[in-house]
Amino acid sequence: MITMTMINLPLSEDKIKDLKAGDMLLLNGIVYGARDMAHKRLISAIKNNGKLPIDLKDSTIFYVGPSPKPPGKNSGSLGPTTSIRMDNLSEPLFKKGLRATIGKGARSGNFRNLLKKYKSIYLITIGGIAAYLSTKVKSIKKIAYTDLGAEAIYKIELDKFPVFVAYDIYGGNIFEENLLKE
Amino acid sequence: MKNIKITKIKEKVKHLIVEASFNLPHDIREALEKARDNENNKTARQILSYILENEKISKKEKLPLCQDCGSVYVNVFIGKDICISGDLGRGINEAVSEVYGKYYLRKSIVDDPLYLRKNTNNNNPAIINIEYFNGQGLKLEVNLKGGGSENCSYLFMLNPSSAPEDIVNKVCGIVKKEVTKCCPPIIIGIGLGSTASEVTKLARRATFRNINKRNSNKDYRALEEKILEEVNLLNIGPQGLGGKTTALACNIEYRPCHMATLPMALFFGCHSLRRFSSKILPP
Repeated sequence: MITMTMINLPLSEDKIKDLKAGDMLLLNGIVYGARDMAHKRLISAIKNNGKLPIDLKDSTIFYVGPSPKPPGKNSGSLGPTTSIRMDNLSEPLFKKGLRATIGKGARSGNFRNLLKKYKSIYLITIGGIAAYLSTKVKSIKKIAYTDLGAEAIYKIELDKFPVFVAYDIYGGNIFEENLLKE
Repeated sequence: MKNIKITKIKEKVKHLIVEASFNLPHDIREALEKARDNENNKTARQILSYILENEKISKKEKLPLCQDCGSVYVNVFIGKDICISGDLGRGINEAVSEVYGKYYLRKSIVDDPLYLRKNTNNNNPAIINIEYFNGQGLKLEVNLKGGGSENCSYLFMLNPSSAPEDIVNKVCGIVKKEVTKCCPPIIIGIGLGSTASEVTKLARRATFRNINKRNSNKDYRALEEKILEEVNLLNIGPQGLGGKTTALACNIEYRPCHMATLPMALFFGCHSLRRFSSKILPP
């Protein structure tokens, strides 16, 4: 079996110092679900000095558009969407304290540099196992931009949710360096 | 002429979408199990186990295999002397709308690609293809395709003097650059020939072809095998975390083309390849 480290959210600059690319983590606590359109709106709010619907300080954003929650379930199916689409939409959020992002797939060199600059980590989870991942969610609720449907901002409480550290703050890269420990 | 009522087609389409949303096709499940048993890489093995476990939960809990419940492609193959009574497009779109609501599937279609991008809230419109075949009755295929894999789609107008190795290199290059976006292990679908507009349909058809069905032309069969072998030597693996299971299959569909052209389209299907088909016999 692969070693998994339990991590309680929120993260902090101090907490992520120990996390290295290739580590497998089980996350507990609150993340915010937000993808393309929600990012555009957050950035526009930041530009206009508007009030943000979520506090980004030490926050974790999960790139996700869940399927609707059926009655009697904690959550609908949910899993990562492709992260690289958010690469050019991330710096304004880092400036507000965004500490970690969760998605799938490799990202641009520019984004990796931003991680070092703003002390933030990039986590990946497994795409296409959304029914399984829904069992690792305690609760989920749309909290902002609800007119966007599945693209709204969600508050999601995770319960031993599996992720891998893809890029750490030292430049470690799970994809290129084959850092996964056997 | 034999008459098939649109209500019958609608019921069938609803059934196929439900099947595809909560169950992996038999050939895909079998390939995933085989890959899990053959993987030497622990992470790869674990991810393949998660994928198989996911299907069990999906089936039991009626939670969709993937939160991206896809664009709905419906392929209608009309046999000899068949007449469809009713509005086919409307019937299919109603089927999509009803199933996506009833089964809590994510509606992912926006009405306008560039400006408003407002969700249509019923996953309409479906993408409907109609073809004719020399047989009895009606065949229906439903393919659900997510946005992640759709974003890894390519059209190339190659030089007609290109060699098979050029195709292999092209595919390997794109897999290396893009594949972590579209949930490997993938199914590689390649269209070759015809025209720019038609070759993308060939690539989609190849992506959704049964992965145990190899090309009947031996040259193309050899090319499918070569591409699969080379791609799986890249050590990208499930989700890009290493291993020899980067692709489960490579399928090629080809057609005649103009002497000045060699159109090529490349599609990737994610590991959650959702397709089911059915027949309606003439009354």
